[in-house]
Amino acid sequence: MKKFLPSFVSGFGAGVLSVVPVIKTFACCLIIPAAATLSILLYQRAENVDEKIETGKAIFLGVFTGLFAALFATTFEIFITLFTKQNDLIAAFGNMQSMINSFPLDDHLKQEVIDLINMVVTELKTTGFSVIYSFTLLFNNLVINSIFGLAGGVIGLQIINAKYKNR
Amino acid sequence: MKILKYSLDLYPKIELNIYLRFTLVIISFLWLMFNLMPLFPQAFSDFIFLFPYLHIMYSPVCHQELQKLICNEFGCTFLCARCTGIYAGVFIFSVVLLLKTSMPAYAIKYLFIAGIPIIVDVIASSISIYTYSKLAAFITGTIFGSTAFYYFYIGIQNWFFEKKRQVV
Repeated sequence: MKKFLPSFVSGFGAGVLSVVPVIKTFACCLIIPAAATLSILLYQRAENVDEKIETGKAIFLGVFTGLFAALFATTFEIFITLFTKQNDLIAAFGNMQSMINSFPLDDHLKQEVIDLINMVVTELKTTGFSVIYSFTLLFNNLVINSIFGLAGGVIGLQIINAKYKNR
Repeated sequence: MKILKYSLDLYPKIELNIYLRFTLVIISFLWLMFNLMPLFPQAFSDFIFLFPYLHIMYSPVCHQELQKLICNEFGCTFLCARCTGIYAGVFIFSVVLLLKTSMPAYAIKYLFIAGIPIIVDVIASSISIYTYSKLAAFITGTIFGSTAFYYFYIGIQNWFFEKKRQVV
């Protein structure tokens, strides 16, 4: 468990920031890579390492930071939606509807797509929970956050290792 | 002038497998292409059911403000002009890496330098020194995206070198 601790701590921090309005738009681009870099620094402190860290270790820490961030962010998002019955999908539904309607495609096909989203939005507005939405969100967060965590770990490691370049 | 290369003694040039480089091209191409799909709805009419999902998928990556998206007569991209530029830069650089097999390691400060145009553009357009330009956002994004991908590639190169060293 100890080897997961730096990722767990920074993943929790990233998960919290990922549900804060405005800040959450930077979740992938900045917060997750920054959290991955932080997890490497935490690992250095915890293990008392004062030398170059290997890339494999940084990849491990970065991917797990992304996965923990995804789990926490999804859990928080589901609970917030459950209580407030509001989320980004509901807010974007109008735009999405007009975007789909503007496509030069068969009306029947467009209606089917709109009906599917409408079903999820109605569920979210009435009960605050939708299985399809929750699963989509979790899957999406797990995949994207782990990729950005990996990239953040690899790039962040080069920033951290730069101070050891002459050793 | 100060020589800015470093660490080649620790991490000598190592060529990444062509399949791995090709995989990086495919992944970056798909990521960029999914974003551009709404601009060509007729070409992707069989995948229109994916659009709501793609909209959600790209939402943690970008603010998706309507006035900052790249649009044509059919629709708008899922990502803003700057984010589209970043991923276009990633794709362009991944293609360059298919041709150029190994890369020297340059100091990480160039990543921060590549981020300066984005910061300047964001500040200048926010305080109305000039009006927001999608082209400027796209170009600054492309510069940063390609530089970030370069450092990601160097990291992966280092990883393979470390693995090879462990085997030896």
